[in-house]
Amino acid sequence: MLQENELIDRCRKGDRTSQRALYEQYCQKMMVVCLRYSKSTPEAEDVLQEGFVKVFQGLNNFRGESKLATWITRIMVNTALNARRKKLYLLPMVDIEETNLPIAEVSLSGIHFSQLLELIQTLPQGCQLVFNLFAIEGFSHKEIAEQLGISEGTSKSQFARAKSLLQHKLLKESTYYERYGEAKI
Amino acid sequence: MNDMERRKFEDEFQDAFKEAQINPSEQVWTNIELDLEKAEGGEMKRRLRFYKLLAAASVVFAMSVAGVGYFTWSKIQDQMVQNNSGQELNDTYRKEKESATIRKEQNDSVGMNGSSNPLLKQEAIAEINQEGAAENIKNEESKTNLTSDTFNKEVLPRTNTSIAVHEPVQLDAVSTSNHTDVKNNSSKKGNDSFDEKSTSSSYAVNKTSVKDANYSNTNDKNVKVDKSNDESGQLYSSLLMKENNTEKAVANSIGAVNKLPSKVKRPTSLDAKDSSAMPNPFTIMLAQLNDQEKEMQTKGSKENASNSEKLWTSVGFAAGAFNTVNSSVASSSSSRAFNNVADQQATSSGVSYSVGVSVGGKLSNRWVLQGGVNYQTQTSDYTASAVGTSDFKNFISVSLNDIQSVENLVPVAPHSVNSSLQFVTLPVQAGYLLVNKKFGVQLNGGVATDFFLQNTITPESKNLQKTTQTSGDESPYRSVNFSGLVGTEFSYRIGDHYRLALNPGLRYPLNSIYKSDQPVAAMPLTFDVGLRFRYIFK
Repeated sequence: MLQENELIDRCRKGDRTSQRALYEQYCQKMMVVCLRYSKSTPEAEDVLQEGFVKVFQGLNNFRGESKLATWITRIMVNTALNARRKKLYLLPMVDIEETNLPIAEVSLSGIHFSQLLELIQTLPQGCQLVFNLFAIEGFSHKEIAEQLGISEGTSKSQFARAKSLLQHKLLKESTYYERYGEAKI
Repeated sequence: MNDMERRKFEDEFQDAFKEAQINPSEQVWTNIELDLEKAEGGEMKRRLRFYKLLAAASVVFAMSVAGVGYFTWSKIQDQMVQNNSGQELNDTYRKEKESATIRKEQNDSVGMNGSSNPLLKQEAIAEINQEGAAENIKNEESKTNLTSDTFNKEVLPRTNTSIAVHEPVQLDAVSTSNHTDVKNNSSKKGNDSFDEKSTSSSYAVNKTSVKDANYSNTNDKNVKVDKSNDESGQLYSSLLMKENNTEKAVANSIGAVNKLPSKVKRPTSLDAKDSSAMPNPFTIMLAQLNDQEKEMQTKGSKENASNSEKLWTSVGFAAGAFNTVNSSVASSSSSRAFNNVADQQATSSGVSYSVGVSVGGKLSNRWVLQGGVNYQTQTSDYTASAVGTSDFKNFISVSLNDIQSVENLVPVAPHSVNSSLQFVTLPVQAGYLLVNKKFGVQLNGGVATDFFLQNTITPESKNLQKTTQTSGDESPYRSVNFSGLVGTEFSYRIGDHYRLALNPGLRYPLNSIYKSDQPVAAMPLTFDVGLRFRYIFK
């Protein structure tokens, strides 16, 4: 098993075997990242393919200041955003009061990530992007607004809507499981 | 509290996806590989295009240098031919002079011994005339293009050995100023006829060539030219035989063509093989270029750190040749001797050496500027055919340096003279880096300021003194001149601070090296190859 630095050097030289090894090491995690930002598996695979090509072509610019996984994740997120950027002007300005949905406390324990993934993919496009960037990637609303070219208020409202929808769906599912006695997957 | 609950919700989502993994399909990696191959192929094409352009530029430059070199070489050859033809004329003149002196001596001896015997005098004169005329006829015959017609018309009547005179020659005592019938076969026969006639009559013999005698004798009907006819007949028959042989050969070949065997079956070993079994040469080439690029990338990262070369100094040595294709001597010069010397010296070609130091710096990634100081000598040999003297006791080998100040110019036998021009030159050149790696290729162009130091004339003869001409008002050379420079530099980097370079280049003065008031103009074109050792500061 090659050290990561040696693997990176070989990838920079264009060694296809090393590039495959690097891909195999990170493709599963990055697939999840791409699925969070996409509506379907084929769309996520397109983003994954484009992202990894950018990774191998831009490997010379990686200076080792952060972890390689973090760097690759950032590339994948940017690739996903670029694919959706043209449609972001369609995001409506929605205030929190307009959601009309109860903010209930829902526990995620016992819920598999694949279910959460499906729930995220059902969100509206803008809500999906903002929720991923804020809740999972950890960006602030100001940074999200700069990245997507929207206002901070829109970012906040989109997130609130996303969260509300998710909680509602989670609540609905947990009630269903309690009613019919099926265990949560 | 609500904030904490919100953060808990986000944190739970983060934790849920922290270790999440899903396998993508195998098609993803295949597509990634294809995209990478496409991207690398595009880069390779760009590199190939660059190297193709570089190769084309190098070929064009080499051909232009070869063309200039061939042009100057042909000029040198023309000059050499002219010199040789002049030498041949001198040789023939010398031979004629010698033969004339021999004739004179013989005439003198005849005059001393045979003055009392007119018969002996006539025979001697006739023999001398025969020898000289025979030589002239031989020379003329060798130069004549002997076609059959000319052979019959011109050569036959003039062939002296073939004419047999059957009638005795009448010597006319009165009309002897321009025409004399002289027997021209064996001397014994001539003696007999003279013996018959000399006792009875007085006569005068004019010295005429055998040629004239032959023409006079051809009017005689009894002249036979059997031998010459035989020779011409033989020539014609040989020509006819040759023609017949060629015709026969052609006829035989046609017959051979008509009799060629039927078409041979194509052997199976020559059939084309199935191309699908053979590897695609383009992919093989791409694979090889891919390997080369990988090697270059490994070296590139090391070179990038030390590839600046912003300032350097170098020491160099160059050797080459020069010739003066554009030279002229004003025709208004006073004497022919002056013209000869001026022409010889101004058009002479020779070798050039230079040594010097230079400093250079990088203006941008591709452009450099360098300048320095060189000491250069141009040495040539030419042939002088005159010497200068003021008292006819001391002689000097004349040159353009002092030709106009010498009082007397004495023609002498041609002798070799060495001329050595020395000057200091300050070149300034801009360079464009075609290849800027461990192996470098650079195109240079610029201007040099030449400061004339001195010209030393060294004749071959021991009796002649060596002369030196420095710059100044009395010197025929310009003190300061400008030259255009163009060249290429092929260099190889050794370590971090050293580079070895090979510099072929051309130098051409923008003005004549002689002052404008001189009747001579010369702009020697110099081609030299230099070796330069460079130390890189940073």
